[in-house]
Amino acid sequence: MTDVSTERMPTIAERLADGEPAASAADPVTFVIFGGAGDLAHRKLLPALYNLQLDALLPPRVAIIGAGRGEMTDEQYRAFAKDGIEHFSRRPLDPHAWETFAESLFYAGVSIGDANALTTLGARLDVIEHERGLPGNRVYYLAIPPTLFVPTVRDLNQARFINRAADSPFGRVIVEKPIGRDLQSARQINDALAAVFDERQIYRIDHYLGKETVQNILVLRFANSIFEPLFNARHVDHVQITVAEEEGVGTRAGYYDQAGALRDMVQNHILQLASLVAMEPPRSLEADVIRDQKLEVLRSLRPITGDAVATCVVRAQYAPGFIGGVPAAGYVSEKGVAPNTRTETFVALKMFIDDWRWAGVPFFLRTGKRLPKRASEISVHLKRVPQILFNADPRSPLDPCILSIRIQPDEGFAFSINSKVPGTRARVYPVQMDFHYGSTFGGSTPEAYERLLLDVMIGDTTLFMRRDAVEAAWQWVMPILDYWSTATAMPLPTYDAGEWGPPEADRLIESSGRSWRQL
Amino acid sequence: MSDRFWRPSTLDAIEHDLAALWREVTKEGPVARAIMSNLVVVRTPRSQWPERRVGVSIDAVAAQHPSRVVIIDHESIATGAPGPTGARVGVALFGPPQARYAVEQIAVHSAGLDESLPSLVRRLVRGGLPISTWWAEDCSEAPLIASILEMGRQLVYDSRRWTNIERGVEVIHAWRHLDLADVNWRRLVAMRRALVVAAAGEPMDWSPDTIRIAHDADYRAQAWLLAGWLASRLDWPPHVAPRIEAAADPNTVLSVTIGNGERTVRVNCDGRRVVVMHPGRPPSTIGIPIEGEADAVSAELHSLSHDVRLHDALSALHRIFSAS
Repeated sequence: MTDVSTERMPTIAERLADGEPAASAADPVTFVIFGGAGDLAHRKLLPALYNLQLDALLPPRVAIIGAGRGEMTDEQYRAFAKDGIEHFSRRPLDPHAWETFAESLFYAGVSIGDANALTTLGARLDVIEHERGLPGNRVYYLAIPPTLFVPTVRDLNQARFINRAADSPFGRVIVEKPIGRDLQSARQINDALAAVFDERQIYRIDHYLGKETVQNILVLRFANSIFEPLFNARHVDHVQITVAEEEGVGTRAGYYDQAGALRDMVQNHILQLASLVAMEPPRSLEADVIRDQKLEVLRSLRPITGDAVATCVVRAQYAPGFIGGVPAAGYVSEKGVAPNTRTETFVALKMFIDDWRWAGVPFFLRTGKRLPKRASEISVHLKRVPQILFNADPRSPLDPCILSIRIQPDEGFAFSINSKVPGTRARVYPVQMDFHYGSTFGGSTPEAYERLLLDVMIGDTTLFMRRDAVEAAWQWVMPILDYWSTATAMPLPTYDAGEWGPPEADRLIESSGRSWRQL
Repeated sequence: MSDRFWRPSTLDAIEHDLAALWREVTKEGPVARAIMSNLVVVRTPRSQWPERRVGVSIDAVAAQHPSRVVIIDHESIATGAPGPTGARVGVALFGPPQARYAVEQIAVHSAGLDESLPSLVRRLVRGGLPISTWWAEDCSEAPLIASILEMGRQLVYDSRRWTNIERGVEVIHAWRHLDLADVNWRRLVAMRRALVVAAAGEPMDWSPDTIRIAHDADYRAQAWLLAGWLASRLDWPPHVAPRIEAAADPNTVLSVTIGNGERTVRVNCDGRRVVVMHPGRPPSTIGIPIEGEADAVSAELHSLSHDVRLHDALSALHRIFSAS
């Protein structure tokens, strides 16, 4: 017999909250941005928080504290935030909404490595939280160089900022990529974080995962009966993932020249995309269930080791050329780049996922800077139909059906199929069923950071990278980096700025009778 | 905000003329043909709808929720009516030059029996796409045309326009098998969220006789919807409602007071934000999303789902009004 006396009745608040939008779950919070006066905060974080305010998605009580090295008054910080919003917000500044938002903005000067500075910050936070009736829930955003992650986390711990593993009040930390520059340094950072935070308090952000189209990959696969049965070695010929950037290194040369395209893009963004495309259906939408399935993909990647690196991976560096008709300098001429650098600005590679679903299906990945245009896309190329009927003429084979998922720009997806050209002859022409987010759903799509920051406040880790996934990705990438570090005598191919990479990249895919998709 | 091209047509030639218009429009550059659903808009001669009466343009909604828009200008005549008397087809273009997209619109004039309309709409809607009916008139005073609503999956309306709340609830409640989408219910999200915050504080008595809802004239329907929501969520006895009265404070558009004396919790909305005031604690502020009328209508059109909370609130209100 069930003992009904032990069943807890829902509270009034729980009964009212039942069925209401998820944003109601965000508890009052103090949001501390280390690097609060930096570029990321100015261009992305503060505009994202402001847009959450516009959508009434910020918690009912909130304080946002920018913490930085310089000195600034709260009023100056509000002016800094206002400037960022005016220039970078997807929606214009609304005076009323700004008024409410500005009331929650504060600034505190902090220098990492100075224990007294954090004590002063702690006192300031206590006062703000007391005045605003905040319960001490805190999110710490480390919008700072990776070299400062470990000392900052250590200082936070020493200054007793962290309530480890406590749910109420909660303490969470957001870490920006890159998590390390190799497996060893990634483990060091993760160890430092783990010494202070429980894993479920750590949010390793990859803004790619906050993009609508990336989130739509799972919907496309698991909410439509047409695609999922095709996503396997029986029907898919190969998969391409391209993340192309038009811009050069810009002001990031100092970082980029130490990193290169493999570390900057492949190890995180592209492998995350691949894992979403290739993962098995999760049994639920719980964060760790999804992250477990993604991890399985990363662990199933066939290692590329030794001489296989030379045949399966192409790296290159951009040379002078033209972008949109305008002359563009070569990489070695960029400000802040070492003159004898061998850092790759382009990578193309062929990889395999050694699991039942994808056995034998090549995944071709490419990414680079100074490519003809900014375009990120995943394309799933289905196998061609047999060479009979409409495909009987070997001189003009039919195009394969391709599902292409555009991540940026012009987010959406398209499915190309063959169709009869009207007329008396049996002519076949490839046509596209094309879905554009912009023209279908209208309005302005939330920025990735909006979704991700809200998820941190709610406590949803689904779109964030778990430690084991970060380290699995590094583990797969390391043999390539190790090979490159020893193959210093090998010439480094170049490509003209404005080209789709070096000829070696074309040969990589064309040797198997395939070709890169024109973007 | 849009370029719009119209041309006269006839009922039989609508698809042909529309195709010709599309070809014409795309001659000047690529234009994506965007369509998510069929949006049926019924206008009666009395309404002068929508721009003048409601302040929401069909184009503004269609830009955000691209649909085949079927506008029926209908004059209800009991007998001897001729049926459709004229038609026009149109294409409205949106977006920057490099990413143009367009939606198609069909306007038909009809005079006849209400029962004749489904055959007209059936012929004009695109197959395989959901049909939403947008009823922007005050359905508490003008009867809904049942034969049209029955074809649709979703009924979008705005209870703020109701002059007679009791009658409005009765009319809409009869259509609860559809996906009801009340734009005014959407406007209540911040208030509902604030009440969750209010309830999460110290324990209070949430029985109906301890709750007072005050509103200004435009927020009367919202006040009643809140009462219905509270009644349904808190399982109040049927037929019991809290006190609902006109707001005395000119800066308050809607407020809820829970409790009496010193332990009173007050939730106050000034139209821009909702503030929850617990005794002895700093206030909590919930912003109200900045959203235009067209944004709200198109957002409701986007979500094809059965809003159980709204349906429950309407049912609770229906019980309250039936008893009185």
